[in-house]
Amino acid sequence: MKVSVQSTSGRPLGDYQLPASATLSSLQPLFHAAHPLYYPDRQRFYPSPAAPSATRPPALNPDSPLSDADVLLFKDLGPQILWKTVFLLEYLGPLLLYPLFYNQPRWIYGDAIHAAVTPWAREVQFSALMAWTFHYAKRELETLFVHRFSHATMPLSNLFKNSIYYWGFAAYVAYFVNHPLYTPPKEDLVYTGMCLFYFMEVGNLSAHWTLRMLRPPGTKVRRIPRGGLFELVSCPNYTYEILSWLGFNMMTKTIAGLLFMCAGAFQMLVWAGSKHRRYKKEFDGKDGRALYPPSRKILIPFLY
Amino acid sequence: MDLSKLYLNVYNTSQGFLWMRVLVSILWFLLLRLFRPNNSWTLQEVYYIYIPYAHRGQSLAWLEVMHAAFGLAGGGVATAFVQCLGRYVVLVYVVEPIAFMHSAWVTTIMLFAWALADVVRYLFYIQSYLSRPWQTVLWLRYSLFLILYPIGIVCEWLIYYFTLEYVDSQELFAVRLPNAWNFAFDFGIWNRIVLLMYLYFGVFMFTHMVQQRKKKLPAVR
Repeated sequence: MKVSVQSTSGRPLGDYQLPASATLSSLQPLFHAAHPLYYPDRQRFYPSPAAPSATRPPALNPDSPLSDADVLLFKDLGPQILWKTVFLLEYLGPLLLYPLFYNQPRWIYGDAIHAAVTPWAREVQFSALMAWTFHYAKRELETLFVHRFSHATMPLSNLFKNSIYYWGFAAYVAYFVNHPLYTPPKEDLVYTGMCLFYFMEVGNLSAHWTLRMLRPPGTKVRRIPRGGLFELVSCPNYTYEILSWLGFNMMTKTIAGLLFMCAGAFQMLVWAGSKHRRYKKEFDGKDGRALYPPSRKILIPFLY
Repeated sequence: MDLSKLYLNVYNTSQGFLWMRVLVSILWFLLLRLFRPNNSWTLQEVYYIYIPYAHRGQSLAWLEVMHAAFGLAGGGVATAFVQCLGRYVVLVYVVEPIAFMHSAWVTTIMLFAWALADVVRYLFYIQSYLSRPWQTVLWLRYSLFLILYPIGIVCEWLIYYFTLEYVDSQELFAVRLPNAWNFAFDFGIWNRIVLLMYLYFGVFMFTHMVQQRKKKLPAVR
């Protein structure tokens, strides 16, 4: 069959010969060969709209079948970067910056601040350092060994946006926790917070592991997650993470840390909401599909 | 007229009056300056005349964030919030507490730009709710900003810039360590960050408004 491609402004971008029952994935390498700049991850194709002024139909995916004489619209998604790469780079900042504030206070706070940190304050700062480093080292290891990334990419500009967020907040929180004038909370709060933090980190890891085990590698199976907190909420990984940051803040008691927790919680709430809706939409109980448990909430057991 | 329309009309009318009051006092000041330079108000005098109305108007404007959130008005909550916040902070936390800004030209020019833009905007809203806005009002609403917005933004920027030294030396609104919540705030550092953000967001908002204009005034190229 023959398929033609145009830009969204109508410029012709070539005609391509494809086998009779081809899908988009057959067109992609041919298009890349004709336009070397647009590697497949950058390509986005749409079927032409029914009428010239109609809204553009949803994008095609690699499995979409094509027909003879189809006219497709091409859009460039811009330079792309692997999700995996972005994760590895954005978590590196917190892992490297935070310890700098703990280990080299003179570089950050200068010599002018002569306050001597009390032994208890230094202990709390050390525990905070351990917790923070544990969290981000765990994230890096999960990125390398636990998370299953399809070959998914995102626009390159996201790397800078995300890194500013993570690296910026890392410096902001580290500045206050490791400050020579830091005031630690009382022992009870510190130990409770620490326990909460590590328990929730383990919970978060278990949720990630469950998600990994959900699909055997090489299959395209989609299943409802089960077990543990998954029985009560769609995204227990976010629930655990928010609670572990709560633990961190109980341990350190800084406004900076609280702001960081709230910013993360807000974002996770949004993500959890869409994930929950996607689960419900896909597992609607019809046509032999499983029914998503109606009592399962989004993020907060029994409540939301 | 249902309740929400009634409420919005009351809101828009009140704002119209407040900002008209501000606009008229500044216009009168400018006329006096032009034609009776020896017998005119000082900048400080006109400031003390319009500031109560500007303050009330800008405080009331926070309701517009609610309007966006509850669908009473178009536009996103985030845009409404950022614009309210920007103007409120510069008026209430920079101009009002810092006395030497009361007699500065940038302050009055900024309030003039705000007042003129707002009078047109609220008039446009009132007319839209009652029936249809006059063609002139529609045109003014989507065209005046082409000069007023840059003027406003530049004045806001300059106000932050001129007050930096004062804020630093007086440690205005500063929160220092140590304290139980390990929180510190330096208004001077914050204002410097704001100065940088204005450069990016100012341009972004302006281009966004120009795009809006193309949509709303189809006769214009």
